[in-house]
Amino acid sequence: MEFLLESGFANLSWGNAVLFLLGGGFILAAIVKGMEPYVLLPIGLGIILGNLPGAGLVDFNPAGGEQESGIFGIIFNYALSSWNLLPPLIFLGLGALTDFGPIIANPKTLLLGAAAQLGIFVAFWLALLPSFFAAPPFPPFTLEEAGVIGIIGGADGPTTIFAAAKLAPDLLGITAVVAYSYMASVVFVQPPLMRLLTTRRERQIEMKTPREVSKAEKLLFPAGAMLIIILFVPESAPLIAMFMMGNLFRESGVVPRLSNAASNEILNIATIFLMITIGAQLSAERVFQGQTLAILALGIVAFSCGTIGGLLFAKLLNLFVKDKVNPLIGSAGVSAVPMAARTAHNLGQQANPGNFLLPHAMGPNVAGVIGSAVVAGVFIAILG
Amino acid sequence: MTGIELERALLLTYAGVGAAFVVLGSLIVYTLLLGGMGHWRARRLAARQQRQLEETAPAPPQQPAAAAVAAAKPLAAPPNLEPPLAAAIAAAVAMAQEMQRRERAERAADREELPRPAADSAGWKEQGRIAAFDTRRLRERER
Repeated sequence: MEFLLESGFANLSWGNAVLFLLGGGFILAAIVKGMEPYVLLPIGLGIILGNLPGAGLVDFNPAGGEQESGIFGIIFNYALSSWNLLPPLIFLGLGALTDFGPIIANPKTLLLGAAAQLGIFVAFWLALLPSFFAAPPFPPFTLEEAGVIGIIGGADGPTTIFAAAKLAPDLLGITAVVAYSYMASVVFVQPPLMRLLTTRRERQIEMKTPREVSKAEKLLFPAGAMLIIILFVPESAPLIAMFMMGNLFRESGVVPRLSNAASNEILNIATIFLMITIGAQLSAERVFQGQTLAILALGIVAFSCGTIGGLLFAKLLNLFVKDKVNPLIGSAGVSAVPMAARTAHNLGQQANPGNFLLPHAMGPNVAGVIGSAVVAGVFIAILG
Repeated sequence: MTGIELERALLLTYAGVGAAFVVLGSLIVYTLLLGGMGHWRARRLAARQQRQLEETAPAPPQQPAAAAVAAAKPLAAPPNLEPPLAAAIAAAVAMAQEMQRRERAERAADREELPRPAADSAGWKEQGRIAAFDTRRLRERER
């Protein structure tokens, strides 16, 4: 009888059951719909495993030694909240996969990546809004928590996790899941806004083919950019240094094994541990709170405002430049590499089948990654 | 929210927006410098290749006008040869001269067609590749 009472079935709550459904939904979306399978499948598995009552997979008990801690608890503590190891490793792999050619060929698109960070600041202030009321509907967020919620608007999973682990570890699980969920739903969230804010004629704009970029330029860009960014915002160093280092491996052409390891083995291993661990952090007690629902709502606001910021800035840019920019590529300024760039490309082709926006949209897309890492660095510097 | 927190929130906003634009703006300046350096190198490379090409190309004939006149009119046969043999030799010499003249004209056209570097044309690497290709083709023809 005692055995039965200690079993998982006896301790199952309705909250666990709802999260099983959520995890199952993520797994289904990944397998059946093919939506961001590398992200949603491990997160879905993590949600289910983390909510198995009595399994203790997410427990962490430093006093009792590692033997009394669960595997996901240990990974969460050492690889995220204490040492924050996994996001920089992911950035190393992303760097090895990134081609800076479109940015070097058309550097003005870097500004679109900066403008698309608008969502971060809108969500940040909206998150602080309840603290201005005498009787807020839920406990108001602290400045640190509001900062982390804002970073969701950068639509950059590793940066959100990096900032959350530094500023508000309690929100790490939910902010990461919200960020990755919205990144996965770029194809649903962005197109209505893009159609609303651009005319058909603007969407039809064909951009000049980007010039060929020399190898010397591709080698000097990451090296110089790394120094510039880190000297301006030293707190962004772990992410930016790894990103640029991965890119130098790729562009140097002399270390193919290191480049392949960064973009395959290291990235894949880091993705497995990161995604399962953040999924496992979504326990029923954490999810079913007013704050969590507020984060979900603020996340979509942040993401939408980022898209709007990029689009409107591209339209503004067109008032001053000779070679017109298709405003759709502004929406790719919210990182979400490469989904946001693909969405801009697809919408451009719907308006004008001869339009090939992908190489142009990759510029603001990569600039968005740099921009959100810079803003996260500023938040950590001031709040950390 | 206390006044201090509000101040920090405002500071975060200004610093965050400022940093994003300043850092990415600096990257634009850096990228433009890289691009400018690339164009300058392209111009230098093309100029050097042009110089090398001029040095390696055969010297033009001393009296081009005379050669052209000679090529234009068929050579008279030496007076001590039989008429049919003299006519055959004259025809062969005229054909050889015509072939030589055509080859020289082609070489001159090739030299004129070499791509000149332009600020907003293809990348410097591409121009260098075209110049190298033309030089190789010219040498092959000379051989």
